[in-house]
Amino acid sequence: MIVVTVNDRLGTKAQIPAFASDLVKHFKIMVAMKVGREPHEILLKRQGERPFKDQLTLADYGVSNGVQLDLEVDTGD
Amino acid sequence: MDAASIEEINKVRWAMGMKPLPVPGATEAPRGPSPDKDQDVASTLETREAAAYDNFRKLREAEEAKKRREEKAAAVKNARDKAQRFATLEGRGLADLDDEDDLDAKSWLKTQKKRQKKIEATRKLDEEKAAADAAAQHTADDLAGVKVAHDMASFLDGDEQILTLKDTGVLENEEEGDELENLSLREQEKLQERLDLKKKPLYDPNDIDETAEHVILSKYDEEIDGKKRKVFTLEGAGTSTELADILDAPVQRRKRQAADIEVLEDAPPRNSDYLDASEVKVKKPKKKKSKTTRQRRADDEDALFAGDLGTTGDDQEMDVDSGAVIYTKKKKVFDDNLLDDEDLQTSLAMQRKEALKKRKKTRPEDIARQLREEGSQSLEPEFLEGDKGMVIDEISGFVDALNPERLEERKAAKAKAATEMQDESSDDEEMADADTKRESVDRDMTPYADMSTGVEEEKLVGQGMAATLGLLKDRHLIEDTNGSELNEKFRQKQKFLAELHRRMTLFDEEARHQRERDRASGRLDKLSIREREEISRQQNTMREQHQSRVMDQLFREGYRPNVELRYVDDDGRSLDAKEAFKDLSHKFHGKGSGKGKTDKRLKRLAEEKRRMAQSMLDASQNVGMSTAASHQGKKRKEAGVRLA
Repeated sequence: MIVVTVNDRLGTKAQIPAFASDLVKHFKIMVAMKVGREPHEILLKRQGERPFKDQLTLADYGVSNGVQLDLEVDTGD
Repeated sequence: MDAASIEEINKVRWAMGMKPLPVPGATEAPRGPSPDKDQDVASTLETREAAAYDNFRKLREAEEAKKRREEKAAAVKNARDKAQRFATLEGRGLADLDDEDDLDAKSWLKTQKKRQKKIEATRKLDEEKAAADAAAQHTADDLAGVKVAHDMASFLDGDEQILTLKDTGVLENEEEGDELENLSLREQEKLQERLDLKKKPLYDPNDIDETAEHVILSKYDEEIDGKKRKVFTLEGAGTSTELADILDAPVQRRKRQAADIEVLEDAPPRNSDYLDASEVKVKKPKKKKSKTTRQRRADDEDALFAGDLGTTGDDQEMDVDSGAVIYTKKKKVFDDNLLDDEDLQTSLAMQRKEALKKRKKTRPEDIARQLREEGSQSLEPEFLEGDKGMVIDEISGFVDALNPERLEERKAAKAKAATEMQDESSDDEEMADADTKRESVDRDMTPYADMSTGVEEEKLVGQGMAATLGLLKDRHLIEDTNGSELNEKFRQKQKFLAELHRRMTLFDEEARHQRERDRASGRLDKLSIREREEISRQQNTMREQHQSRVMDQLFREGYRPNVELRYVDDDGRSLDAKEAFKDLSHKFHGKGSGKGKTDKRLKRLAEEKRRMAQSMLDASQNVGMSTAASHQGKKRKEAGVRLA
């Protein structure tokens, strides 16, 4: 189990437990649950990198315990 | 991250069909079963400590297990290494005693018998094998029926030839049987074939084989049917059945050769004027050093004449030729032009002579032809040996004297002088005298016919003014000005002056007469002095008016001023317009040419001076007479000094 910190740099910061093998899609649902925003409006990315894709797992992006991800609003494009 | 939130998340995960997250407080086991049980366990400090202890214990156990595993592996490896080390040392060493040597004498004796038997057996086997070999000795009979893939004729040389089985596939020509061949012979044949191909023309009309039956386009037979190979079979006794074949071929060949020889004998000896291309050796002409030239020339001449003198008999006639002497001089002149021809002619002559010598038979036609040839040859001028000095003959002399420009000028001048002489000779004595002198000069110049060389004698200053003038003219020291024109101008001017003088005196005379007349008439006596002066002044003006009118007319029709701008430099040389301009310009600007230009100019002046001082006949320089002769000498590479 890993704990991932999700932070939109506007005052919202959440710690979410997950497995590294979880898909980003599912992880987004967890985030949505914590943050209070629709899963399809969530865009996760490492700082300064491209947004994560839903079909890949967290492990694919090298997300391990204690990693902080940036949370942005996904406008759909 | 507390367990409650995790559990909450787990609920969601469960709903999504995902693996639930492990809850920290819960025990390990309940993965499969529902997490509801886990919820019962209170997450107290004790439980958590217990869990921590458990975890720690587990960790320690795992570490220990790992350590043990590693130890075991190391032990195994050690044991294996040790075993390997000893394994290499197993076996009998040098120092180890043989087990068999440990046998006692009795047992050794027992085995000795067996050993003896074994040795016997091997020996017997060897003998049998040798016997079999001996029995299988090959004789000539064994080769009976084997083909040899060569012409029988090629074995007639007598040398020993080693034949080997031809290299073919095992099953390729089973029914034909094996063939023997000699590799070196095969190579030779191939080479010969290739050479023949290269040499053989496509169609040789002489290459008709009379003995064989005619086949149309037989030369393509080889290409169509494949090569006909000469093959013979060995018989039992080692002889061949095809002896006839051997004997045939050489006979044919010999026959053709004999025919060739006959043809050669019948053919006339070759006396073509053209060398065969194979015999020609083109030698690159080397640059001759001037030092050796004359010697070589002499050698050439010697060789030529030695060859001529060396021949005897009928060839002697050729040398007896009076024409040669006559043409000697001319030959010298055209030597350079005909050098190539000379070589050609001599070689041709030699060739013809040889041909004639070979022929031997002296039939009348031959003699006639020979004579004709000699005649044509004798047209070619020949050398006389000996004279190596510089030769100045008519032609070089003539060329020396030849100066077309001067000739033309002279012609024109002569014509003019002649016309003027006719109408002016009566005018005044001096001019007539000069003209006659010039005429005599002309007469000196003209007669080329009676002079042997065509060169005129150089005139001497002592002979008079005309001679001096001629001399200077000849050497281009003074330009040939058109004297008659100048003369005309001068005379007109003189005439004008005389007329002027005459008129002036006439006027004076008239004025004096009038004054006399007036005084004599006494008309003036009555008048006062003032009146008299008045009248005379009036008359004077009238006279002057008249005089000026007349003079004006005179000047208008008679006065032809000769304007000549003459510039003279500091040394007294007269300058032409260009030079004068330069000079004036330099003077005006107060700055002359640079050193180089000045030097050049001075040099030119000195050269001019030297040229003027040079003798006409000075042979040391290329002036006047000696140019042509010296040119000839240079061309012929002869050294020579003209003394007079």
